[in-house]
Amino acid sequence: MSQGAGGEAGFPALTAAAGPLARRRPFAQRAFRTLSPYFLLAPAALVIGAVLAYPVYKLGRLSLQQFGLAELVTKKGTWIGLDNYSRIFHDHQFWTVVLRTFVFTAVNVGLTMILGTLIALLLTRLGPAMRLLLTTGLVLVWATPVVVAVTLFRWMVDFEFGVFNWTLTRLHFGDFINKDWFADPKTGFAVITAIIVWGAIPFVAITIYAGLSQVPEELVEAAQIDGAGRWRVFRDITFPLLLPIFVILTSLSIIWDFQVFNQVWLIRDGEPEEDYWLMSVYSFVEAFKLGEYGFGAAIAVVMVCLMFLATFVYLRQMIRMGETR
Amino acid sequence: MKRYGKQRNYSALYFPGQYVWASMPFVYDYGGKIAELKNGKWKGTLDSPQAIQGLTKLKQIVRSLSRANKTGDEATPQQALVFAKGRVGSFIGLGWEWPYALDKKDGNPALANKIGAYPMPSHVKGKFMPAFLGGSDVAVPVTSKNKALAYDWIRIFTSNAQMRTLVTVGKQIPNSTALASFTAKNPQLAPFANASKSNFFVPIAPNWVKVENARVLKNLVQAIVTGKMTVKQAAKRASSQITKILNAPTT
Repeated sequence: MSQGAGGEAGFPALTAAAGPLARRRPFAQRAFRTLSPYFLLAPAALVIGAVLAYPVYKLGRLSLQQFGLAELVTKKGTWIGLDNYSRIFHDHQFWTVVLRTFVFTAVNVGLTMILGTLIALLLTRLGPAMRLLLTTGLVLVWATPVVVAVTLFRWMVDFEFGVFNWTLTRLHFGDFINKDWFADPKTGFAVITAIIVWGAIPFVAITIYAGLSQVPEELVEAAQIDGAGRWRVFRDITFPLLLPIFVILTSLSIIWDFQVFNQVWLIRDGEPEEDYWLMSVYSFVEAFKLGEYGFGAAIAVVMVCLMFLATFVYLRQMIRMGETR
Repeated sequence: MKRYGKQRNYSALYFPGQYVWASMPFVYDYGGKIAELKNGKWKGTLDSPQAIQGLTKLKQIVRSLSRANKTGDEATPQQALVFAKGRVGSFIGLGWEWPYALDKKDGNPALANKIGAYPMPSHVKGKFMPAFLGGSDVAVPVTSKNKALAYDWIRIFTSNAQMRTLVTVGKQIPNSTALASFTAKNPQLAPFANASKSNFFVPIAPNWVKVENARVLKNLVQAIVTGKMTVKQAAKRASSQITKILNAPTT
């Protein structure tokens, strides 16, 4: 109480001393002081403007034009207003693709978060040697480029020579000789999901593990003394304490998984069947394979808007949590 | 197939489900066509009775003789190399492919005296199935600065003198029947030169490239051999797609 009073007393004295000094400062110096934050922000703002704002502006413009291969040669599109958008909303394939993208994102984010959390919890219980081994493994996975990872998985599930079918058959899980994983989109997407979850787990697991080391031991012990089981401790102590981390990881995962492109594109050899189209693939095929750049741009714009909607809830919660701090 | 019945991944005829360029010959063999130009308008004709007859034969042959990947193509993995592994009785390929099966590094040279090539027979006795006579195109871009020079280069490149080198050194099929005597002398090329006498080409339409980019033919063959659609359904869908794409404003 007395400390607080002393602080309050000291504060006006300090500002009183600063007052006359500020008044005596020359104009140039004052201007520099007000403007310097903007000077410091300028380089970053310029870079963001050049690599993000300008392309997004061009994308938006393109989405309002009839722009095909002919327009690419003459370098001039025809203004058609919202025609590309109305075409999208009347395209039944578009809605199938949107639904597929949402389901795909939900499954991938869910699996990534659950498995990542489980591995993080496992890390806290391992001895030093095993923990080092597991962490190294996680970092190696995280460091594997997507193209390499997809190529590896593609070889493993290869129809003729894949080790996966061979192993499953050898282990008597059934007859997997010449099993075609991509004949049915469900098993095909299972392979794609495996690649994505496999690649995303390390970041989630290591981040949550870092968070877990911040959970006070006393709280956990006190709860255990009160008779709480492991699940109860996780639900009522660990999870609420790590909520900010979970929210950030989930929203990042949604952003990443919603725009998955490389894995689908590469595993189907640059020619995914319609059953494998996610929104990003759909947009790319329309724009660059069929030469409908305007229409492809419109799909991309809709995709960005949908992604904003999907992450909005999480972003809002994140900002709220920031305010209560 | 019976003799190799125990080998679960043996194919008497290796035929992947996206092998368009070996599938279309079935359509043309039965008198069908991919598309026709009538009064300035294109019409997809893969759903004509003749084309459907050919596609039905294709389905029957692929499903009874092939255990190749029905959602893959002939180049991943290279069919010649699957052949070299000894689990394939025969495959439909280009002039360079069966020699590739004997490649010292990737293939199996021991097969040298056991294998050979022959033109695909037609369903009509004594005839050959029409082969797709196509390859890469050479063209001058609109934006070229030296059009005259470019045309000269193309004329020289496609001349008989150059093509003779392509046959004798490159071991490829030439672009002209005038060079038949050279291909006939080469045992490796002769069957292919023979097969190429009976041939077909894709519709010469400005928008044809979009049909290929939209995977229309690959989707058609894949849907038929996987059984995802009936031959009629798949053929109807492909035909209407082709009609729509070929008649779209040219770009």
